[in-house]
Amino acid sequence: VEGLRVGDSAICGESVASPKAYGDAPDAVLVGWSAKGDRRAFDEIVIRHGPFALRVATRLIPDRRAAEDVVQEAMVRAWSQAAHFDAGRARFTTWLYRIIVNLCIDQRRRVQPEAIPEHFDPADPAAGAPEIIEAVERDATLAREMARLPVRQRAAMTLVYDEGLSGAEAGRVLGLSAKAVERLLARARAYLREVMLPKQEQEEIRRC
Amino acid sequence: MLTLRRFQTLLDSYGADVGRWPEETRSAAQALLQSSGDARALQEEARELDDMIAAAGAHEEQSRWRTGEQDVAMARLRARVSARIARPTGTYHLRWVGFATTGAFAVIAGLMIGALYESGQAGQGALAPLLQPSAFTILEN
Repeated sequence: VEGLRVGDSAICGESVASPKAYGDAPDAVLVGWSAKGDRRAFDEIVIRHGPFALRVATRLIPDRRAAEDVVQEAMVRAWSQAAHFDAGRARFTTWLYRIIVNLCIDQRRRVQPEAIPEHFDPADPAAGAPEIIEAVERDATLAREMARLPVRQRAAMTLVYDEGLSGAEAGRVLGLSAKAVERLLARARAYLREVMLPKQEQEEIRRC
Repeated sequence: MLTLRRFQTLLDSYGADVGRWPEETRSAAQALLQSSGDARALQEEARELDDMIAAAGAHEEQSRWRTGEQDVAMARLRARVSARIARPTGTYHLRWVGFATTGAFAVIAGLMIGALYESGQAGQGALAPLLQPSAFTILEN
């Protein structure tokens, strides 16, 4: 718990030097303070949501540096638009996800991602049994294929599978209906199944 | 009541973990799983792909973020965001001062041109030499 930070508000350029429990404050309250220019409150938001923002962005944009830039830009936008955030209409995380995912989609449309190289993080032959090496290589292949998915399909997968959002919540982030999210997920899975399962079956046949 | 067909559609989208499915379908899906062997077989098939996707995601995560790198990235993010949000207030206001000044000059220039035109039309007054040979004269001829 961050605890009370008496006087921090003065450092942050606020006129009222009231004690604020930044660590305990809900997101909506922090956003309200941020809208009034409290930079310490916004820093708490960055601490709280930065890791997930980086995680989501790096899944949608393979170039990590570009992903970090997008997150930075998203956070600055969230700061400048904090006054427009309406806690009655959306959860803060949904609102922030929407900013991040939209920026990632824009970035992916502008710059075609560099394909993950064929020998992206290859298995170290000295590391262990052939089964382990095979598994690592299979994971790397699937990771490559996932990076090749159209950005909206990838975003839907990231939000629902990795971040645990419901289809409806993911739809709100992406500006789509829950049905449309369902279709994006189905297309992504169909592609991955087509790419991966035949290979695995072929390997099983070869082993027999 | 969930049909096997709808069950398959949901599996194809959300995967084998029913907890990920839309809330209103979960209890019907559990009931179908208890009563139908086909449903259970389909779920097993979907789980195979789920496991592969999860493993690939974990692999990707590990490859992208080596130990400690995420902490470094977070520190970098905090520092950069903090620097950027400290800056805009000044530059934002300066930008508006710039816009306002340009706008004011544009309005004054417009008024002056209007005055020149009026005086040129109304008897070739003191400002008339400035307008000659003017487009107005040429057009009048």
